[in-house]
Amino acid sequence: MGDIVCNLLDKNYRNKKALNKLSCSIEGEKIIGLIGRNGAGKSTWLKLLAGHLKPTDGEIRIFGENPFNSLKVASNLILIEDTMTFPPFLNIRELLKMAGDFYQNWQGELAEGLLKYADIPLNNYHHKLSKGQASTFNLIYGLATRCAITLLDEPMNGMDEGIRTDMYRAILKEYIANPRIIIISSHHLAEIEHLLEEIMLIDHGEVVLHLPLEAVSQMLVRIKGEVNEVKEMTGYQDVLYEKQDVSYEVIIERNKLDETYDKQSKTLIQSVSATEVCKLLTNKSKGGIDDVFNS
Amino acid sequence: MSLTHKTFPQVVLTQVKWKVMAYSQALITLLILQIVMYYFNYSGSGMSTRGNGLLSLQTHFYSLDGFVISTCLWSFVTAYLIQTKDYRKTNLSIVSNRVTGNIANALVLVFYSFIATIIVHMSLYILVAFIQLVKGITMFPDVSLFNFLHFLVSFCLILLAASSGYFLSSLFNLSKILGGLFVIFFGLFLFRVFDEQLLTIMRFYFEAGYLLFIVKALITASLFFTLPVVFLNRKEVVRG
Repeated sequence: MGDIVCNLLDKNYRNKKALNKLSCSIEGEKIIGLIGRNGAGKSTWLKLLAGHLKPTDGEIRIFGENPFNSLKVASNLILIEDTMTFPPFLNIRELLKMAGDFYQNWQGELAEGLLKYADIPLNNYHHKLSKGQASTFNLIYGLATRCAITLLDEPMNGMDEGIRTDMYRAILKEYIANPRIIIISSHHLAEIEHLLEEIMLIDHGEVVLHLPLEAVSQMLVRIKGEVNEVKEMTGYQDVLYEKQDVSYEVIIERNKLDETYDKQSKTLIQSVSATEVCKLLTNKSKGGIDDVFNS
Repeated sequence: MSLTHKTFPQVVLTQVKWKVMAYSQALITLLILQIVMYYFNYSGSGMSTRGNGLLSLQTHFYSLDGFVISTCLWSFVTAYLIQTKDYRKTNLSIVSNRVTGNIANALVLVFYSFIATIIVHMSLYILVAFIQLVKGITMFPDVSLFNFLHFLVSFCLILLAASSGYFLSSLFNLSKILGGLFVIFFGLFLFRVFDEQLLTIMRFYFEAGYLLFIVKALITASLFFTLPVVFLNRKEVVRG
C-alpha cells in the first residue's frame, strides 16, 4: 500500500468538475513533478491531499488515513502555495520559532541561513514581503519543516531568475539530506526536469500519465522526412502532432513506430523531450496554435 | 522518513500559546478603549443632588458598568474577527485540524476575557484614584473594594459577549444566509419588536441572583463555543 493513495477521486465546484475519477498511488521517497495546464486540477488535487478540501466522491488515503481533519497527516504533510498566510502580528523570527513548536523535525538554523541568503530580514513581517520574497519564505518554511510529504504548488511564483535557480538547488540539497515525498506542481517542466524522478501529468482532472522521467522522455518520437516515407513508417497510426513545412514532421508513440522500416532511409528520428510529451498529450489539436492561424 | 506524532492536547496547547501571542494586538485595542472610557466616566456613571437653602449635596456614582459594557463590545468584535476566514486560513500554515483550531480559539477567548476582566477592574481603581488625586473628592466604596462575585459576573458577561461574537462569525462561515438571518433577528430585538421575549431572556439570566447567572452564562458560553466545533467540522477551508 502506498503512502499516498487516491481512488476514483471526484471534486466538483458547483457545476465545474475539477477532478474526474482520479486514481494514483505514490510510495517511497521521491520528487514528483505535477504537470498540467491551467485549470487541469493540480491545485485542487494538492488541496485534497493536504485535507483543505474534501472530495465529492472517491477516497484518499495518506499514511492509511483520510487527510481531512487528520492530525497525523497535518503533522507530516505541508502544502506550500503562494496564497499562504501567517498571523500578521508575528514577525519572521517569531514565525520560525512558532514552526519549531509545531513541527518536530523543524530545521531552524537551515531556515535562518536560507532567509539570510535570500536577503529576507527576520524582523520583517510576512504580509509586508514582496511577492517574490513571500514565495521564497514560503518555500524555505516548507523545506525546513522536513515533513514526510512536502507539496509545493507553483513554489517559484514571483521569484526572480537568480533566486529561482538557488531555490531549486535548495530543494535538491534538502531532498538529498532528507529524502521524502516532494510533489512540485509547475507549468515549467523544463525548469524542474533536472530535479524529478517521476512525472504525473494531469489533464481535465484525470491522470494522463504517471511514469519515471526516463520513461516519459522515451515515450514519443519525432519523425522528419518525405511525406509518403514518414507516413509509411508510422503505419498511418495515431499522430499526436504533424507539421508540413519544407519537410513533413510527425510525432507518434515510440511503440507505434515501424522498427522494421529501412534503417538506411534519410528520414530523421529523434526523441521528444518530457516537456514536449506533456504538452502534446494535453494538446487539443495536432498542429498546436498553428492550426488556429491555418484554419 | 519516519513519521512524527503530536497528540491532540499538545496541538491545542501549542496553538493556544501562539494564538495568544498572535492576537495580542487586541489587548492594546482594549487598553485604548479603557482610556476613552475614562473620559466618559470622569463625571461618574450617575449623579444625585440633594440639599436645602444652605446645603447642597451632590453624589457621583462611579461603577464598573460603563467599562464592562464597552469591554463586552470589544470582546464581541475580537471574537468575531478571530473566527473570520482570514484568521482561519492562518491555521493552514501550522499543524491543525478544524477541531483543534476551534478549541484553541475558544480557549484563547476565555483567556482574553479573563485578562479583560482584570483590566476592567483595574480601570475603575485607576479612575477612582485619579479623581481623588485631581478633584480632591473623598470616595466611599459602595461594596468592598474588590468583590469576587462582581469579578465573576463581569467575567461571565465579557465571556458571553465573546462567545456570541464567535458564534455569529461561525454562522457566517457556515452560511452567509444563516448569519444574515441571525443579524436580522438580533436587529429586531434592538428595534424593540420582541420586547416581551427580550424581557423573558433578561429575566431568565438575571432574576435568580448572581450565582445562578454565572452558571447560566457559563453554560450558554460553552454552548456557543461548542456548536461551531460541531458544525464547522466538515467545512472546507482554502487559502485562495
